[in-house]
Formats: sequence, structure tokens, C-alpha cells
Amino acid sequence: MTAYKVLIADDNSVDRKVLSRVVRNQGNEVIEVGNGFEAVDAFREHRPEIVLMDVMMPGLNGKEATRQIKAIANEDYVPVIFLTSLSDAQSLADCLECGGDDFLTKPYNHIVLQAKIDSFHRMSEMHRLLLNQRDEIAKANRHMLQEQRVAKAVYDNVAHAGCLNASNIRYELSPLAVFNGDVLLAARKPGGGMHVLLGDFTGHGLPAAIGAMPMADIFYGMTAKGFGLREVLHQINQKLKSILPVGFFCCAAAVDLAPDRHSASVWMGGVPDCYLLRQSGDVIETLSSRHLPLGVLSADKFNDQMTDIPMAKGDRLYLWSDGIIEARDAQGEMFGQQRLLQVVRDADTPEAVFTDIQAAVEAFVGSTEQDDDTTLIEVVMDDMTADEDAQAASSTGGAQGPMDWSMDYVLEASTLQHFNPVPLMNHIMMEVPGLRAMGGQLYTVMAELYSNAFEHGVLGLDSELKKSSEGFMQYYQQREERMKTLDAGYVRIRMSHRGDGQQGDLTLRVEDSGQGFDYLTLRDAPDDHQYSGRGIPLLKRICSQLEYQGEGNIVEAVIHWPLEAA
Amino acid sequence: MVTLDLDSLTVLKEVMEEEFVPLIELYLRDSEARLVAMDAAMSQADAESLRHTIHSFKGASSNVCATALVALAQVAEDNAREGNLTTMHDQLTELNAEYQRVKVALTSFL
Repeated sequence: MTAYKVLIADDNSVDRKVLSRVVRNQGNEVIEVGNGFEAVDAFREHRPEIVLMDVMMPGLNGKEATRQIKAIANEDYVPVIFLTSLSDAQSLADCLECGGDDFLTKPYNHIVLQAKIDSFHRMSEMHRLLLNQRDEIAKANRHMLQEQRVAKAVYDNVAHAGCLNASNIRYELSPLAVFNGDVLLAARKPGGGMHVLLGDFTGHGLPAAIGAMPMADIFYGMTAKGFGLREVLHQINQKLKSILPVGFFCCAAAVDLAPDRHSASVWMGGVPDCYLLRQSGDVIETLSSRHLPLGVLSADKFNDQMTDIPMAKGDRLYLWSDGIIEARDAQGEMFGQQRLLQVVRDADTPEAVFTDIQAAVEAFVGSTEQDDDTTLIEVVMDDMTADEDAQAASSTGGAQGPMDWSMDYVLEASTLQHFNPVPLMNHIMMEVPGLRAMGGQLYTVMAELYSNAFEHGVLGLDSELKKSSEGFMQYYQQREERMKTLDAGYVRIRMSHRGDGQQGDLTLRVEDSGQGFDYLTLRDAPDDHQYSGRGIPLLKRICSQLEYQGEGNIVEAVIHWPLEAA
Repeated sequence: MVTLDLDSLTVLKEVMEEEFVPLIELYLRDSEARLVAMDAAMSQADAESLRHTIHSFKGASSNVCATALVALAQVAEDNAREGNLTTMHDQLTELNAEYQRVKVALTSFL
């Protein structure tokens, strides 16, 4: 039997002696006191587990002593059992009302006495366990919040806001959205335009955040290096598939915004229908998911097919996760797609749609305590030049980066079949701070020169073919065939840079193993007929010098920065 | 009504073991003092103080199994609670007489 420490307070010494003996005989330790003051002092000193307290005592009576003991015990549960010779219901009820936990009527029944002591001891144990668990939970919760803050800080470094603050974007995202599994990413493409990705991971908390990090890393890294959105999605899918446990994946909507082509390409997997609102404001087009979410299919089964949609300046695209559709009102009803569509329809102007949606959801949800996981983004088709100027201004100051350097990079046939060196080359150029603001133009030049060298040079494709639409098809057919059977040839890229931190010249020299072409006769032809299909007029606008050499299989372009105003 | 419930007293003796004799001595000491206190309260017609003392006296007496004394004390306590002191003098005399019998019985029990 367990020994409990029992405090007995009774001014009637004979009663007290008898009770004390009985309790001790049952194996407990007893502290005896004769009045309320002594009871409070003895409690403070000995911290008994149970108190047997006479109600009527001279000086401090049992009820007041109990009040003080309970106050001292604070969170600890110390049962106080009142001792009384009164047996009427009201007197017994009074014992409990004034803070007692139970009563024991005199004369004492020994069996009942021991049963009560045991029972209250079990209750104390349970209370202690509860407090410990409560403290454990509180500690674990503090720990979790701390971890979330750290994880959020790491996540913010990886998945910085990108260009979400661009003038053509409005968005709503909970500050701790990473832990409800929602992700919004936006990045400018080096060739102009931007990639936007809205992701909704299954699950909440750290599992969701963990998947978001490599996703953001790949998205920003690959976009900056000039990879297309399809390649970015491919890579993200493969990464998520390999790191996330079965059953975890990421519903996503991704947009490749190309203002120069006046179009956008959209990939949607597992997200609710999204809307395209024309500038005129009267046509709403619905875009639906056509794919499985990211991280579900293996790389060979992943479908990166994008849906191309023409988008004129001012057209608006709205993307959201299911949080907005599933927002619930006080009655538990969901906001739903219908209501959402109605808000878009009812908006006075296209500009008002975004705030109307926010207001409608807020009004619908009302004061119900909701998970704050409304994720919403509006992307407006815009030429984005103002932002790029601002970006250029901010990126010109600061570190000098590499100024005087050159490199020579030769790609042999087997490499040419599988590898696109343009992102890598672009990456190297972007190390020069002064060139960063011209990322788009540099990418265009590099891409153009490389594809000329590879397609017209190494593969020997006739640029004339691209003049008609039938020829275009034929051109790409031949390109496929020749690439498959390619067993000889090379493209050699030489890059060099000279500069002083204020200005500089980048020289790109691209040589191929092809036969070249008669650049001399074409040189003096009118601009729009020159070197047809080789994109030369475009390049000439960017480059300070552009010149073919050798048999026409070598081209050298010089790009001066800062770019002079056109 | 018996002066002492000897069966119960025997149980108490078994429970208290070596503390039994000191307990009885304590009872006798306390009771003498209480009887004096009762007389003092009576002379001042202090019903409340009287009630308290009789109540304690009754409780202690019940422990030593003084059945008749407890019954007498109960009646006296009830009267004191109601502030009825008209017959109290006689009751206290009766209490005293019964206590003397208890004292003799306890002493012989030891």
C-alpha cells in the first residue's frame, strides 16, 4: 500500500488522536494540528497530499483554512475532506460549497475513510498527470512554433517573393501560408515576361513546407537560367515525386506569360477552375485542370502539355487554391465555385474583380474562426517594361563581379543531341552585374546565335524553309530526323568580357562545323530580307557589332553595356 | 442506556494499541476542563459558548464509547443551540454525574 502524507486538523484532541491512529494504521504518514492557523502553516511546511479538516475550530475555522490552503496549493490538486459530526444535508452541502472536496461524518467508518483517501489520491495523481501533460503540450507547442518560425525564415530565403510585387500582379496569401501548404511564386524570365506558379500541397504544417522549398528553388533557379516553364514543371514534378511520401503531392497552376507573343501558356493540375477576364470585362473564360498534380506521376508519364491562350494587354488571369472555394460560413456552407463566378460576373470593372472577391469571401465567412488559407492571385498581361527598368536600376549598383574574362566551350555531336547550352551560357553572362538588367536581350542573342549554329550549321537545315507554314512543318521534321542520326559536328562558343564596372563589352563568338553561307552577298540587301530566318535584324538592334566570318560558319557579336537608349 | 459500549471500546483499544491509555488520559483531562468551561459559560448564560463546549465534549465522549453520556450531551447541545437555558442547570448536573460514572468505568477498563 502506498503511504500518503495526510494532514489532520481538529481542535478536539481525542477525535484527532483516534483519527490519526486509524490513518496511520492504514500505512499513511500523519501531521496533526489543532486549529486552522496551524493547518495553514503545516501545509506550507509539509505539503501533505490530503487534508482532513474539522469544520468548526477556534481561531481560523476549517472553511477559511481550506481557502488559504487551496490558494497556496495553486495548480496542485490538494483534496480537503471536511470532518463533521453534523449529518443534515445542508451542513454536508455547505462543506463542499466552501471549497471542500468531500466530507466524512463522525464517528468515522474506517473502511470508508481508507477508500476516500485512496480515491482522492488517485485523483491527485490524475491531476498531476494532466498538469504534466499540459506542460508537455505547451512546451511542444512552443517548440513547434519556434521550429515553424525557423522553417519560415529558411523558406523565405529560398522562396523569396520573387517578382510577386510586380505592378501587374495582385495577390493574397496568408503570412504563414507555407504551413497551410499554399505557395505563390513569380519570376521574370530572362527573355522577358514571367513565370507564375500557384501551388497547394496536400497536408499542413512542416510536410507541406518541406515540399515547397525545393519547388521554389527549382522554379527560381531554372527560370533565371532561361529554362522554359515545361522544363521547370518537369523538374519540379520529378523532385516532388522523389522526395514526397506516397499520398503527398502539390496541386498547381502555372502560367508562362509572354507579352511579346501576346499569349500565355497555362498548365493546371488538380486546382479548381480558374478564370480569364478580357480587358473589355464582359467575357469570362474558364480554364480547367487537365493534369494530375505535381509529384504524382513518374518523369516518363508526366504530361507537360501547356494550354496556349492569347492574352492582350490588360487581360486578367485569376488563379486560386481550393481554400477560397471551400471557405465556410457560420452554417458550414462552402463559398463554392458558383458564388465565385458570380462575383467575377457582377464586378463593375475588371480592376474591381480582385478586391470584390476578397470582400465577398470575407463577408461570406463572417466572424467564424477560419483557417486563414485563402490564396488568390491576379495576373494582368502587361509589357512589364516599367518594372524591368526599376529592376535594372537596382541591379546596377553594388558588386563589380567578374569584369575581364573569357571562355571557350565546345559541344560535340553527342552532346548537341541532348543538351541545350543556352541557359548555362546565360548563367555565366549573368554573373556580370552590368549585364543582369539586359538578361532578356542577352538570352535572345545567345539563343538565336546558338540555334543558327546548330540548326543551319551543324544540322544543315535550310532557313528558307521557314518562310511558309508547310515549310515550317518540314523544317521541324527534318530537325528531328537529323538530330537523331547526328554523329559528327560541333558548336564552339567563345565568350569574353572586358569592362571597368561602369561599362563593358561582351563578345560572343559562335562557330559551327557546318558549311557556312554566303553572307557577303546578303550583307547589302535591305534589312528585312537579310539572312532570312536567322533573326539577324533583331540581333542587330541589340548588338553594337554583328559580323559573320570565315565561310559564314563563324559569327561574332559584341554587346555593349549599359545599353544606349534606342 | 449503558455507560460504556464495551465492545466498541475493545475495538478502539485494539486500534489504538499503545496509544490507548494516553488517549483515555487525554479524554479525562480534556473532559475535566470542559466541565469547568461549561459551568463558567452557564454562569454567564453564554449559550453559544456552552453549545461549542458541549459539542466537543459529546464528540470526545463518542470516541470513548460513552453511549449514555453522548445521548445526554446531544439533548443539552440541542437546547443550547436553541438558546434554551431553562433546564440547562439540571442537565449539566446530569452530565457531570454520568461523566463520573464513565470515568470510573474507564479507569476500571484500563
